[in-house]
Amino acid sequence: MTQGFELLKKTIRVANSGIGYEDRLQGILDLLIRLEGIELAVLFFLSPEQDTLEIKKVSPRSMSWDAQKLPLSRSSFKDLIQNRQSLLITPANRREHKALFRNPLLKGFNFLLSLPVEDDNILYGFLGLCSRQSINPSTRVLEELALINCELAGIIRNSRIYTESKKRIAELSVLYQVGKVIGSTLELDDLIQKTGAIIAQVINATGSALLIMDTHTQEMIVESEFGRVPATAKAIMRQDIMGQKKNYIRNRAIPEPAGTAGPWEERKVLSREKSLPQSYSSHMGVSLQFKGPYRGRLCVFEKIAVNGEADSNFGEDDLSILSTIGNIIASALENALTFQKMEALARKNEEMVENLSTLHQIDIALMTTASIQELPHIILDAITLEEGLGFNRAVLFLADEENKTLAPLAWAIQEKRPAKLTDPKIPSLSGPELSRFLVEQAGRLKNTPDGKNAKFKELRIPLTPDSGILARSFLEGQSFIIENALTDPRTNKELVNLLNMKSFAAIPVVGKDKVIGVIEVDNFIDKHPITQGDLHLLSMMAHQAGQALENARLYDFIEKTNQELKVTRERLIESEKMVAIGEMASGLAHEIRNPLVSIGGFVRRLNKRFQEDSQVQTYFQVIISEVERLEKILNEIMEFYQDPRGKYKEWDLNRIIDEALGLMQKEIEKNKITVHKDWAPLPAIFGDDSQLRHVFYNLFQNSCQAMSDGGKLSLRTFLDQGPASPWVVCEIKDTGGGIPLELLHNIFNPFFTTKTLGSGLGLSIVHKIITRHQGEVDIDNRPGEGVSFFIKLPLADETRPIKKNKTDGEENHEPDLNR
Amino acid sequence: MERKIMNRILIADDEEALQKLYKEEFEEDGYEVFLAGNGKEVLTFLEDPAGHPDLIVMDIRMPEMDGISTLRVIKEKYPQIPVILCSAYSEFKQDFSTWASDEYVVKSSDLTELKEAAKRLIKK
Repeated sequence: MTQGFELLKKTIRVANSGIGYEDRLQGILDLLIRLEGIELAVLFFLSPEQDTLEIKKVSPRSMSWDAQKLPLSRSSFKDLIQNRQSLLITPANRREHKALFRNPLLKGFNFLLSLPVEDDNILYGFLGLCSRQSINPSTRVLEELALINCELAGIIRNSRIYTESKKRIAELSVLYQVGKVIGSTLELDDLIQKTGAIIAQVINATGSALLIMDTHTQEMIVESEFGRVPATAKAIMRQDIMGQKKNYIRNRAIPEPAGTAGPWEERKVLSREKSLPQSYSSHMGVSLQFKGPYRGRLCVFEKIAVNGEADSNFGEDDLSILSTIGNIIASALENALTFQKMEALARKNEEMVENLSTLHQIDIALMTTASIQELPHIILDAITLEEGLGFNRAVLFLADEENKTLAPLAWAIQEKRPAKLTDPKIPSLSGPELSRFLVEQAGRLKNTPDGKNAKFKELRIPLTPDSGILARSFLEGQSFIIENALTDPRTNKELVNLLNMKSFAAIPVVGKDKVIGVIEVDNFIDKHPITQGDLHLLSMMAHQAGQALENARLYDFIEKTNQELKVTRERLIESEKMVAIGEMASGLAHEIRNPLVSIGGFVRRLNKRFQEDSQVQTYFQVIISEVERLEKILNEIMEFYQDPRGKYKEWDLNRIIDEALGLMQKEIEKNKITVHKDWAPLPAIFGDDSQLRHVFYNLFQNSCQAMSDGGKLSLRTFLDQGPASPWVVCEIKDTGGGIPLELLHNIFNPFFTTKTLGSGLGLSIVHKIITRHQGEVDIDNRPGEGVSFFIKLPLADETRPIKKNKTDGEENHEPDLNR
Repeated sequence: MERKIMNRILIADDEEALQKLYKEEFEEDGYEVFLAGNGKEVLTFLEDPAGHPDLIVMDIRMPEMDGISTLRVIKEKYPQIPVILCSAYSEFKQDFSTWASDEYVVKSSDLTELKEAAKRLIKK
């Protein structure tokens, strides 16, 4: 009783002492071998999976043992685990448990008493008490041993709970650290750096690596390493991402101690994978899950052995922590990635808005003028101004369609404006100030050519594909960036030398839908490379420039045409005046001539009657000679306004009609008349262009008056072979309702004096002029519908020989054949 | 004196003073002169073939019916009667042949040219 009580008392004391867990187990075993007949006490631990046994503690401490594990499948303890009962092995039943006795530690012991170490719930292992002599414990001793085993179980359970709690706390602290790091930043690069470090630190790894792939582009958008990472790591992680591998641990195989055999040799590595090549670092990998279109992989490498742990392998606990960290950082990384994307987008947006606003200002400046002289300067200043597009230099080349070359029209170089830089009172050009400045600058004269400039000004680049990138840009309508002008075979070396270019861009200038020139842009001062973004901006700018230049060209053309038209019109008015004066003179002559003839005639009769009276005779003679003088003056006036045949030349009738039509454009538009022209190629006619133009002007005026509420004017020219000789014919057909029948027969009659046709004079002039030109006027009148005038003129070749025979009284007017 | 058949001239002009001048001058030269004030009167006069003149002297600008229109009718109906256009318009002298008149005389106080033309045409 006392021995048993003493043992229990000591056991309880050891079990509750302050010494370490391992020492307490050892202390209790040391107490047990003091029991009578017990020579060896062994504590077996059951693995958590309950499939192997492992020797944990041995007493006496002098016994040597190794920590080999014994698979339960081969041991006789199987029943013990199931039954949780004590077992006494004696020489009588030792054979059944021979596997157990192969362990060198148990050699020579014939008796072994095995007792389960358990509490009311868990079986932790077995306590083995061995003896070479017999063991025959009384019931009482067995009960005492059961109590001691309860103490052992208590120690183990407490220790395990303690270890577990410590681990949980450690895990929580790891997660806390990781969380703190992740929360500290939104910057992707910063986040990656920090997580790499913290992961390696909390897992006790020598290195960590992180890879994130964009699943759309299959490109790695994050590749980061921390600490020591094997060179092959990235390639393997990439494969893992592509193959969407699950989380795994790969530990390096630990070499087996030589000469061991038997069931203990089956001691294996924790890995469920096959053993790996020696060169391969032990590592763990977990996949990172994202909501967005990313896939990632987080790996740690080479565990650092701590606190004398038997091996430096990664365990399931490590993997679970890594996986948890992976989940946390995945969402943090995704946030950072999104943030980065948004930031980039915002930056791009801001840049775009800025560029668009600049382009808008440039556009406003371009709109202010249609001057072909000012526009190139606005365009080039806009490109080179710091507040504009800010390039160092720009040259505008325009195409010379006739010679098929590109010629430099104007250029601009960025000017540093020190006044602006040093004087804060002068604001930078923002918003509308930019356009205003551009317009002001354009008025100033620039680019006075000095020596090199003069040479450059004369440069002509042929428009062939092999004359350099500018010509190609023009021909293909494409923009180009040349990185190195000196080595690039596509450049024009003459141009490169003249401008001393390194890197430049060539942008086609498109007006309407035709390329009209090329802009060369470079940064020859600050050497900034020209980017695709720059090219895009320049292309937009060149597009605006092209439109403006095209408009200016058109405006220029219209201006010139207008000027010509004005001159023609003035000339026509002049000739119309002449005709009117002629008409007046002719009318006047007629009116004066009749009474003059009467006076003269009767005076002559009087003179015959009074031949005797010499006094009266002299009076009559005076009157007669004065009347003759007046008649002579009248004849001279009439002759002066007669057809000036000397001015006759060869003309294309189509052109004359077109010019006359041009003079009527306003009236035609005002009356909403549509004009349909059908010109046939015609042989030349011979005549006075201003008179002929007058013919068509009068006819068009007639048609316009007839179609004051709109209508259709159809003009057609053709060659009519005619019965005798060919005519050049123009048909003028309107929809003005035609001419009332009662007026028709008199419309050409200038002598018809019943004055019914007020405006008939115009048509009589038409008739007179055409008659003078040996032509004819025909009418096709369709009352209620419209009228067609046919103006028929002989060909120049027909007219001239005839004219020679009819030159009575006008010998002095030789036709001008040398036109 | 041997009575000679007098040549008949029809003068068409709307100016009464000129009618009187022509009439007196041609009668003095031995012509029988008839007068008309416009083209219509000329055509009326010509309706009687027995009274056809040997010559018509006609102004161009006349009321009711002008000389050119009248000339066109005369040349169509009575091509045998010679016509002298006698007008104040000198500029049409060069074109008179296109109007098919036999002579074109610009009016003048000196009637020599007209008289010679008349003599020439009647002789034919």
